[in-house]
Amino acid sequence: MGIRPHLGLVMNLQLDTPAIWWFVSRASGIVAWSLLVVAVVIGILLSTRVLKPNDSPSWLFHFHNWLSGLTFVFAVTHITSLMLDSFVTFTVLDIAVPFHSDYVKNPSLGRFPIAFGVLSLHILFAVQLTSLFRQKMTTRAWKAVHYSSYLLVLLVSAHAGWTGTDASNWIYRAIGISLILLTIVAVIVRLRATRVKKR
Amino acid sequence: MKLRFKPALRSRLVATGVSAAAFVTMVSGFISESQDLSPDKSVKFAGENLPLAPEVLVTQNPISVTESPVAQLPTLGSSPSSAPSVDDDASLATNTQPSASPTKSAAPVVNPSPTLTSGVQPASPSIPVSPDVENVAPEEPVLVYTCMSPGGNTREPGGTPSCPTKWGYVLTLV
Repeated sequence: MGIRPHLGLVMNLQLDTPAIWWFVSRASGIVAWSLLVVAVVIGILLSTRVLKPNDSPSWLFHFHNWLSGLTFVFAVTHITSLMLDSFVTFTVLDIAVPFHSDYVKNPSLGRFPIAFGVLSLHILFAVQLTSLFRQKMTTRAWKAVHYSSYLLVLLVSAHAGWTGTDASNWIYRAIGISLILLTIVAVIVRLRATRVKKR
Repeated sequence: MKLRFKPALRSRLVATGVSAAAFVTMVSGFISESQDLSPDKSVKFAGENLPLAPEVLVTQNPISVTESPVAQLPTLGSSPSSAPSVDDDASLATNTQPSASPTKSAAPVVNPSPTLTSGVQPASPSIPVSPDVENVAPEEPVLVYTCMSPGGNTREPGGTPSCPTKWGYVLTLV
């Protein structure tokens, strides 16, 4: 490959070639990230029941499942459009195997940001699959996989922050910071509720 | 797993609609953002980020102003200590100030050297101007501007020094 220009530094925004798949990939990634965080928050509200008696477990459960499904759909759109994009040239192996892609946006971070995205996809797929076949699994095994959703949010946030083309955009930053703060608050609520239960 | 569509139906529809609307808005925003930038703007944008870009524009044009007598001084045979630096300054001046008249040349600065003043006056009318400069111009280092995709593919930029979206460019000194 040889020389690899730093895309964030030298970027020419003239649209003389169709870059629609790149735009689709960026937009679907942002939507998937947002949906993931909201799904995790709804899941925490369901498991902790902190809004009791003003909540509806059935509503929370089904809404959580629906948001998780939407997250998966947009995540698949994100990677599919990446493969269809003619400039970035991601292969199936790049998307399936962590650290396989040599796409480097920030040389100091190396291949880690893209690898985080690949690992996130694996975890998302595992969480979805185990939720679909929950009846055929022990609760302990299902929970073990389901708890990895917290790691998933962490990895996706790092992936979005370090590889996001729009990371310099203030709207993108505001959305990202809001999502991270929302997740932190939800995790704190989750930990406090668990403590109260143990007492 | 049984799928029940009744619970939270309205919320699901709203969530799906909001997600789809956000997605479509973002994609259309990215498209309009990229189309709003004219080629002129893109060149300026690249120039701000990479200081070498304006020099590429300069070197793509041949040096055209050659009538300054200072540019002829090194060809006159005498080689004073200040001659090479004067030659460099003259070639830069032709790029940055192409409208400078020959009377505003650096000749008065060179005048203190008696060998130069005696040599310039008879020689300047007889020496043809443009062949000398044409011989000098290829010796100047040339920056080659090549577009490069994130995948490492390269291609020539074409008529304007601009590359496709997401492509970077590489400047090679030849």
